Amino acid sequence: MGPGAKPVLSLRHVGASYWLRKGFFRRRRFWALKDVSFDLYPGESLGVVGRNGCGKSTLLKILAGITRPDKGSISGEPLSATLLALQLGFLPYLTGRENAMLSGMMLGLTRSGIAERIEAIADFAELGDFFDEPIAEYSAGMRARLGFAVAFQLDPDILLIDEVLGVGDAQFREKSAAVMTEKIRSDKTVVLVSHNAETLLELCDRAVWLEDGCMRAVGPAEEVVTAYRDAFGPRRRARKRPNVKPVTAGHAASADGAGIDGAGVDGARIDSGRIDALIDKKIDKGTDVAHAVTLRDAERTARPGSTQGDGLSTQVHAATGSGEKCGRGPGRGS
Amino acid sequence: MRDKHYFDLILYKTYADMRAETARTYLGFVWWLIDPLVAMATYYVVFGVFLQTKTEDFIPFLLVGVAVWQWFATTVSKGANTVRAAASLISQVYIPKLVFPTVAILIAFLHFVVVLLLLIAFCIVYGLSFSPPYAALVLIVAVQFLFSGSLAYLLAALIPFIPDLRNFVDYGLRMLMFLSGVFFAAEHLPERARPWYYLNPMANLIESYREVLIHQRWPDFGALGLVALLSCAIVVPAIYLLTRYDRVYPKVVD
Repeated sequence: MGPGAKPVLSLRHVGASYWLRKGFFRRRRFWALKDVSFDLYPGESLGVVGRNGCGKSTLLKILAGITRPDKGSISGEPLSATLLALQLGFLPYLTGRENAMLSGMMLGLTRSGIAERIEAIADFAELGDFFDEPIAEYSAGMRARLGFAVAFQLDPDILLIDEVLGVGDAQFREKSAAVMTEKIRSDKTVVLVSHNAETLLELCDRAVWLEDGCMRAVGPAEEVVTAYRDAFGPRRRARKRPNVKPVTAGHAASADGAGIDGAGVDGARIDSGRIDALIDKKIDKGTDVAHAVTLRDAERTARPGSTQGDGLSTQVHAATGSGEKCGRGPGRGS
Repeated sequence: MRDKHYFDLILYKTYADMRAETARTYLGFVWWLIDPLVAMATYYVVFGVFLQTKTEDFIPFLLVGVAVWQWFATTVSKGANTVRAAASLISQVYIPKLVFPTVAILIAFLHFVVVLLLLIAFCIVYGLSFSPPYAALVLIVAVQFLFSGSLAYLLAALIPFIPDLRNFVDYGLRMLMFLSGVFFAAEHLPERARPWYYLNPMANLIESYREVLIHQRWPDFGALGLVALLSCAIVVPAIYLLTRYDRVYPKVVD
């Protein structure tokens, strides 16, 4: 457990870029991830913090093997790493049972493996007779429960989680968050991305802080997450970063509802992904939403005492741009 | 182990997509047959009644052309868009991109098998006899499977990088339909146009089916061999592209 053991994965100067079409033959290279190095140790829970557009999703895609890094290296034994994706590949006219099979197989479970667990899925999702009805007839909450029940059966060597802890109505959300928390706390190797500092402090042993595709810090979760939270106390930011533009109220509100302990909206976590995608798209187009303030950030305005800086927070700077090099920063490397 | 898993996934996804397709409508399965029949009826009215085409056994002639053409067109146009259409899926989980066009190819093939069996039944009821050249049908179907599949793979591999290609697929298919002899026979063409006409693989394939089903003759095996060879020349680079850029597509299609 933790540093000292042999890492299961070692990232060294990993970078990932996208090509943005600018015209018929003109393309611009955009480095979503510029220089990221850290180790992942067996059995630990590693948190990833950073604002929208800092490269968290890109990092998860690389860890999941969905894309490959464009520079740097990842070493380690070949292990399965899967991103917890809810309702993946669901088809509306198929029954809950058929969708569970399909979704489970897409997530990497074998056909016989998922067949063995199908009753457990049905039980967990609390669908009763609806399990054999087309999911087009389900409520959003029922679909969310089925999606969670399927994804929860996943047992990869490394589990990657992007904001998803609990879904559905209040009762099911509590139940699903409880089993998920238990899974994260077990000796499973987990990488957990979240906007919510409290969640990360509660669940993670270590944390990585990403900023504009670069490493700001890596270390014990308490230190890194606290530093991140302090650095983005809005009063400090308002002073240090005058170019911050708040997102529209609508965006902010839904982004907040999508938080871990957000309002009890069915399938709210999936919205979170969508909003991230939306914001990512805007960043691709070069707008300044990278500096968007979510409502959650805004809440911190009310919290006093976050202006006192430590070594890290004094390093806050807007290192935007599409270059592939990382600027200063004490936390680079490990 | 992994290969076995993805093979299972292809089969289950094929089943699931077909189930979803039939469950969506009241007539479900029957739509597989309505499509070629409507096309056939239209062409019959235009070419058989209005233009008085002088082809013998015009109804089976037309049925064969339309059914065979529809299999080809469905495979190519459905298969071409599969990788791009799977954008949200492939950005959440790693699935070999080969899976998606393969599923589309299999679904179109299964539809055609049903249509072909009914076509054979129709030909026999119509009074055309069941004869030894029928054995060649297996080969003709295999060659067409290879040819349409190779185009589907190639387009599926390229369209994520060149989205405009998608529009050319539709134009291309529409043009090729008129050049493939769906509703005319090669003997109606001027002598000097025929060598050009036979450069089209689909013209050769459709004629091969007609030789067997209508004329009870063996098809031109040389022509079939050339089509198979051409298909291999397309399918090898296509599969290379799909595997080479397997983990690049999620970045491109998003």
